[in-house]
Amino acid sequence: MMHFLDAYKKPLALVGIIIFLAIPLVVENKLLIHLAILGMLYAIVASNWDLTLGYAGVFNFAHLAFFGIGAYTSGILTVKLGISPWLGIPCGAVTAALASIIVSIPAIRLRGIYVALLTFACSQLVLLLLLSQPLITGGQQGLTGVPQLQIGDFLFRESKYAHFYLVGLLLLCSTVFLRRLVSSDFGLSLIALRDFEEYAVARGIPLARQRLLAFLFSSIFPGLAGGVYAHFLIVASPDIFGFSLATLLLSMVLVGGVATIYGPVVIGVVMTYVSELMASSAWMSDVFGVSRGPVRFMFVAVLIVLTMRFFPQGVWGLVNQFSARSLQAKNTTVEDPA
Amino acid sequence: MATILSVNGVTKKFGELVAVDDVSFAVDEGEIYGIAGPNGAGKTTLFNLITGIPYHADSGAVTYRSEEISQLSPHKIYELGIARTFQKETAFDTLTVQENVRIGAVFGTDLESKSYDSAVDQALESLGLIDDRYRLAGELSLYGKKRLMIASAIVSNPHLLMLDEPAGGLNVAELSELESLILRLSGGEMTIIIIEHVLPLLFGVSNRVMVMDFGKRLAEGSPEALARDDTVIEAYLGERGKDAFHAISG
Repeated sequence: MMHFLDAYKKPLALVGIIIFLAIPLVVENKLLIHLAILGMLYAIVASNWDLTLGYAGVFNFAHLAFFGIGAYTSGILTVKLGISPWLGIPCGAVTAALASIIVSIPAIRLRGIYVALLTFACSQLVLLLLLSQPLITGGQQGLTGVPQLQIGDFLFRESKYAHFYLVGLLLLCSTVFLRRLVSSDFGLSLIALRDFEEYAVARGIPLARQRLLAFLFSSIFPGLAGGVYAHFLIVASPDIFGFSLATLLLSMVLVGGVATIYGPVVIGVVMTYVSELMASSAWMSDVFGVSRGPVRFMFVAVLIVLTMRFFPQGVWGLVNQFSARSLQAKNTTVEDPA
Repeated sequence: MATILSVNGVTKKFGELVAVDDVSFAVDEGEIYGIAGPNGAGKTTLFNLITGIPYHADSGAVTYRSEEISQLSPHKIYELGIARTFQKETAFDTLTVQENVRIGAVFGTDLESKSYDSAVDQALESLGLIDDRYRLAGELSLYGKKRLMIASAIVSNPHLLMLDEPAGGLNVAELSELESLILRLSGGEMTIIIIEHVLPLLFGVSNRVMVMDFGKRLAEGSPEALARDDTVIEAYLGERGKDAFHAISG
């Protein structure tokens, strides 16, 4: 089905890039820029999660672990071994990819709730492993003193633009990679396996290989993003593996629209702003009579429930429906001016 | 003529129920081999055991062109050149008609990537679906979906095509069209095994037919011989029905 967004893909992308490049030039508030960077990092994780959850239909709850593994790998390598962050970050992607293979081997032949339980257990196993080695990982306190990114004498944290453009580029590469993947024959095979597994294997699709590749491909950019995250915040914290962040990222996928990629990207950034601003504003906690932290997670939980109940296709699904209708109406008018 | 598929003593049990009970038969290259039998006779289970979807046989052997395939993965069986359809009209509803067929061309075939598009168009053309190629598969009629299933099976040029009740739910005109299609497909190098309840169609296209009942092979022979076989008539109509049949047919 042809969508309005497909028809005007190039001009829309150009406008998007221009707006993106202009943001740090016109936005003075450092908090807003900081949240945009966080939002883009979370959007990378959410959109890659969409590959396994939305396209492959695998209830994988180990995705945040790939992000965390990337953060800790780069953090440990730079803090303990003194290697460059620019080498540590790709190493984070490699360890995340290896972890994805280890998790996927038992997971690919399971279905439904069993996949969710297994992948969640794997995620918690990684967390417990990290907590059990405080001399290396910093234990409950997290790994502090992670070096910030720099090129020569140029320190990224001292610039308003550097992290913003770096993470923006990473998000762009991740999104292009994912969209190309889901538009390819590989993407077709994932959808086929998700929609009708028995029919898909009867048409020659190797179930185990395709699902393993889905896990692998969806772990690379979260691994990279995890490394950048650690160097951006100069800490690798066990909070990454927490249920609160997992719920927030899941809401980005579900509210954004499963099997869309663009939805989790856009809503990933928006939800980060909404969530963080709610945590820093007093009026909602005053209204509900609870502390600020829980209010935002209550909001996220309610949003997930409302989305699943009233528009399960998510925001991007609604945009697609609307644009398809608009294009159809436009074509009808052109064909039949009377 | 060489044997393309040989099934020897295949058995499948589900708890106490023996769904397929020590069934043996062989299919020759190029022939149309029919399988008939009342509901619950084990016909579709037999198809499942041959293609490994979603289970394999408990015992017995399935040999395809001298290769034992009883325990192979379904996608490996497809790679060897065995494609099947399903009893219920089946399609990837969220994909277009063209994408549905493309899946059959891309995976497990020796087609070159540059020839995928032409193979897909050819399959769609031969099934009369070329004008529907950009529609979502979920929008097709029952007959449309049945043709789509066949298109996605033949796009890989299989040596053995297994059709599971392709005529179910079709009207007279569609049945006639389907019969012509099956004969046309068989006119090439394709061997066909067909399960069907619509006996005029089955007997009209098949060179030989096997009749199953209660998981067992009841009879095998030419359609003409089976039409006069008392055990076959009894399996379909019961003992009283058989007597009535003889009274009517004289």
